[in-house]
Amino acid sequence: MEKHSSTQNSGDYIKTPKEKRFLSVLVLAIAINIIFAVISICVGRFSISLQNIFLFFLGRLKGVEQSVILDVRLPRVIGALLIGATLSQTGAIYQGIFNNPLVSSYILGVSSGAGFGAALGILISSNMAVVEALAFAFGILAVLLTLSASRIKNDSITLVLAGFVIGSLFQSFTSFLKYVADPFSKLPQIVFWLMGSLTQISLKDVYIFAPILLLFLIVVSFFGWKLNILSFGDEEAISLGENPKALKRTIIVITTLQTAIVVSLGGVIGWVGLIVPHLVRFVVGYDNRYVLPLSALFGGAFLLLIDTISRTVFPSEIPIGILTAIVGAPFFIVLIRKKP
Amino acid sequence: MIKISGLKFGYFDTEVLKGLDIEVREGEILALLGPNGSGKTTLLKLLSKILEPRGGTILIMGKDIKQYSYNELAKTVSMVPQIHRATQPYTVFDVVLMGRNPQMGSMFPKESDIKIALSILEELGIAYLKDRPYTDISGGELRLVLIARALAQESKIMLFDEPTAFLDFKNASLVLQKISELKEKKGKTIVVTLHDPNEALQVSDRILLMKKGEIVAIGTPDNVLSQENLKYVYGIDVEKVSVNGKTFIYAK
Repeated sequence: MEKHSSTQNSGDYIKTPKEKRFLSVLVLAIAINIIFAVISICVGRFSISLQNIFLFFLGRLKGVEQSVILDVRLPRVIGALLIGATLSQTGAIYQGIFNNPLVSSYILGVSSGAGFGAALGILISSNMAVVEALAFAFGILAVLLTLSASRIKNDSITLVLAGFVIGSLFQSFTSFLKYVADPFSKLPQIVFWLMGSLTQISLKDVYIFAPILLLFLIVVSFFGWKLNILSFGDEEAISLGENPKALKRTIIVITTLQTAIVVSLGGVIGWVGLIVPHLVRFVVGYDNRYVLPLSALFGGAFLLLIDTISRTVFPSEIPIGILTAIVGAPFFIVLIRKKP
Repeated sequence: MIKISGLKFGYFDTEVLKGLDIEVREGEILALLGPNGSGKTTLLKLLSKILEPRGGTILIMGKDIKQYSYNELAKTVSMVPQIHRATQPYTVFDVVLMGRNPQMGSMFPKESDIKIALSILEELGIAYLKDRPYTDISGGELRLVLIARALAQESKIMLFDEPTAFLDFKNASLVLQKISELKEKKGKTIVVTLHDPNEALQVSDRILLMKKGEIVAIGTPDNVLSQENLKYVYGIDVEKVSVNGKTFIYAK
């Protein structure tokens, strides 16, 4: 009779239908990630057979194929998975904090700041590490400016407005750099960087950033319950025993670091943080305990798919930010129309 | 249970509460009555640490409210808000389970948390709603769900901010009856803001009558709701009648 009950007399734990659904979707998501990763390693200008992938992971593949997998495909696959996962999960988090389904983690200005930093890096140096470092630093700086600008009135609307203002400011700085940049060498580089691309992700990047990003993804996945409480608004969160200001501050610090890292690695890739969390909610409901981990998994799979398409389907590679928008916009419209 | 002394609060230049001294006794229902802007809701928000006082002290079970962490306070004081905008379609069961937040050490509710949430739903007679999205229920049901969520906190003190607002006659009576039962059956100490003096008469042990951030009177319903006091607070003449031993008040 008690359909929802998770308990039984003997004390054994029975999973609720919702938990069962979550677990099956979770398994599905992991499977999709593995399948997409294998396909993505296989396809490209230089095809690689399944057998060779198998040999590679056993450490028994040598020569060109080993080098293609290790230096080209694998960093890019891992990069796409982690960047997609981070953008999607932070999008889900921001939609929760601001109680607004249309925001992403770019809302506080991190992408505009990082874009300016990257443009500056491209102008003054040809070293990718400098570009990444400046993108990261200015991404963080933009969010700090947003936070201090919104301190006058400490509410979510002011924060979003301040993010918009600071973002626009950095965008005009970037426009200025584009205006003065050498139109034959530096300008195209800046433009391409801003469109987002995973081509430049190296094995070294993966070694440095993959553990950090993975750790953040796991930590943030555990904020789901608190995010549920926060969605009731600050006053009710307090009466339920949370400190909403401290909680939001912690979440904003972590997600800003996450977003700044992925933007400095892959450029400004839009839409992932918007469509994937909505898709996930459509499937498993609004409980953030489920939405956060699943957004990460499906976000990774989504970006890997798009990236694989961008480098294989067209004669020359299409910047990934363009494709996420082309796929994302109609998909989003369908999703909104289907919403109950 | 609660001892408030010299409590002051204000926004910028506006003084909302002008030095209140109030004692709430264990196991009683204290009704806060007064016109809009008298500071009733502000008082409840100060008691749940949503707002910080400008001056004075609030002792809850002998301990200064400033020394309570949010988590600790939520185990002692729960609040049923007046206005709640349901935005995310969580199930009713999940919303009630979120009342267990102060006691839960992690994001995973224990078996005991689930049992408590289910038994509260049964108790309030809304178990049939548990799998429904709470964005999709009536105003009266929503109020009961919020009461259930507060009950799940298992706090000794419960605060209700205008629990009958926006409810039809039947649901308002039902909610008032539930509040009385919480005191009678569970020994809760309750502070409730109300607009209708008749509701205060029906439910409360004592009444605190307020006007513009000051206490006009505090005491038993019969003493506090005198014609003079009500005339002073609301600016209207009222008549009191007794029917079957119950007192009713109406405007002349």
